[in-house]
Amino acid sequence: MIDPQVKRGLLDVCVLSALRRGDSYGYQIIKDLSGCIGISESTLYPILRRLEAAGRLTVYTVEHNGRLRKFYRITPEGVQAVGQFLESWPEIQRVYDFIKECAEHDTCAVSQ
Amino acid sequence: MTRAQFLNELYRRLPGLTQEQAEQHLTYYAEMLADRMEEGMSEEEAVASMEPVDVIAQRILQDEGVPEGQPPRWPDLPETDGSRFTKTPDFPKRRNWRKLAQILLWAAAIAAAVSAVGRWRAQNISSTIAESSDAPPIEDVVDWRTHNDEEWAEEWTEEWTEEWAEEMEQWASFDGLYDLWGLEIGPDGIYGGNFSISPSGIVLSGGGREIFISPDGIALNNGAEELTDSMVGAKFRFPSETYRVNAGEIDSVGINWTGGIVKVRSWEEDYIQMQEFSDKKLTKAQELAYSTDGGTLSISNGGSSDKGLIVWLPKSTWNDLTVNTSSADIYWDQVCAEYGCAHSSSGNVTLSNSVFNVLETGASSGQSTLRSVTAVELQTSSSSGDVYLEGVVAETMDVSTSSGNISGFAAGNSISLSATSGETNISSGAAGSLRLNSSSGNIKAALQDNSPGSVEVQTSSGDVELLMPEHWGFALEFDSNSGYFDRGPFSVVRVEDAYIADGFPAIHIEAETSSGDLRLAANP
Repeated sequence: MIDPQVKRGLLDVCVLSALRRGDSYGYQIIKDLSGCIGISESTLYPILRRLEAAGRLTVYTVEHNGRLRKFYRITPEGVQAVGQFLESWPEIQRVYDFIKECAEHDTCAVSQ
Repeated sequence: MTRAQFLNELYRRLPGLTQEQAEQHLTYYAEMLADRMEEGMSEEEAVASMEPVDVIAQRILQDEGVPEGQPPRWPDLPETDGSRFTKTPDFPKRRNWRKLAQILLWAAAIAAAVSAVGRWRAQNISSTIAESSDAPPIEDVVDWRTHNDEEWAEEWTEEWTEEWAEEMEQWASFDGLYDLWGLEIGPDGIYGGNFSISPSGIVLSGGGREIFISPDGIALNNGAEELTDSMVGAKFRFPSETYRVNAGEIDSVGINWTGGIVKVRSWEEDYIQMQEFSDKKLTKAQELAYSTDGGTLSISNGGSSDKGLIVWLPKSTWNDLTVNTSSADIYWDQVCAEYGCAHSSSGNVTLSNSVFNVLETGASSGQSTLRSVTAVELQTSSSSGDVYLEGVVAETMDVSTSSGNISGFAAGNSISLSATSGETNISSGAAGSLRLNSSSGNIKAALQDNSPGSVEVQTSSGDVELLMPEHWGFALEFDSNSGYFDRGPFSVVRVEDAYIADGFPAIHIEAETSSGDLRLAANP
């Protein structure tokens, strides 16, 4: 299970990535992410609001079957944020390798 | 646990939040439940698949930065079945008979309205509102501004702007909302089954049409007349705030609307303005929604389906102007666009004084009216709705309807009119080709001004009447199983399969019918 602190950082990018496929709504986003990372309704909503406040997505409302459904759309800033995450992957990989090495050899390069 | 119980429980556990904050969260969870139920879960299964209410509430309070155990910031926990978060709440009705006496003022208002309507009828400008379900001819609809009785028009204006507005101002100061004899009476006006009186004007409904009486004048809304801004306000009593969008980077506008009215018009300002009008006070969720993406402004009706919308556009050539509605009537006035598309399923579409490169309009069962519209390419289609063309000019024009009728005046290089079972009655100034098509509907075409190079007529059982200046010549090919050809006043000679008439200019006519007759007549 992913540490909640780590997961929190990933979820923002996951939600934005789900929206890169096209505009979507809350329940659909949860379903789209379920194969990759678990996210509950109560976790998703603050993320959506935070991303909206940061200008990384916009919200619009559509009437659907006699009720309202909120749709979320990724903005250029959101696309840029996903790009930044992907660009930082080599750095994350180095951190992962370091942690893995320490765990396997009970020591690591930094401590020597 | 039912959905309503879940939402009520959650609501109860969100003290310390403002009511607006609480409702935002509840709306989100109501939507989540609805989505689950839409995918086949039962109500109980949908609720069971959610996190426990306690967990959700704790998360919300943490997220909002509210410590648990705060007292509610709203006075009472409202009774709710949960539907209030997904449906339009009813406008609260207060019955306070102590203020009944105040209604007497409205009696004066009604009397003034009745008097005004009476005078209007006396001037013989209204005779058909409830007597017939057939729409009156356009020329019978009279606007007082064009009425020849200037004295009467002046009197009306004076009365409205001074006396009537004063009455309305007094009435607007009352704070009650009453039900009386089936009427809803409040500070915003009197609303009955088929009439309303409000500070914006009077609307009388009957015979499937509406009469608008407002400071702008009197008009019969049969879907063909100009609809002034104040008429929208007269029909829907609650105007919203105005929304403004910088037009600098916007070159396209797309509107999706359900019912009511959508009016798009130009104005002198350099920004886009939107305002909606509704029958009831709107909650935030019921207000229109709009967003900009790239150069496109998208507008939708939000959570209330029957509203009026006016969009004011700066005078400019728009790249793409598209309006789609379900039952809402569409009105465009004085707009210019590279591409325009106006489509309503059951509403009327009325475009006037507008210019396009490409224009597509459609009204499945509603009426289409194009008045003083110019386009390079024009396509208008309807299923059962009638199509009126008044001063429409297009390089290529394609108008089709199934059971609706086509009438009016159109000019262009290539004109094609098709009405399967409807009647076609058109005056045409086609310069290039004119194609008229019908199955069982009759066709009457008056050719004038420019002579078309060719006229093609196809009909099965419908009769065809072609009118043209008597000095014109033609070569006519008539192919019919049992139809009869009447040459009218023209002198023709038979040369093989063609009928030839000397004259200038000379045109080529091809007519093909099964049993339909072809009759030529002189165009006066």
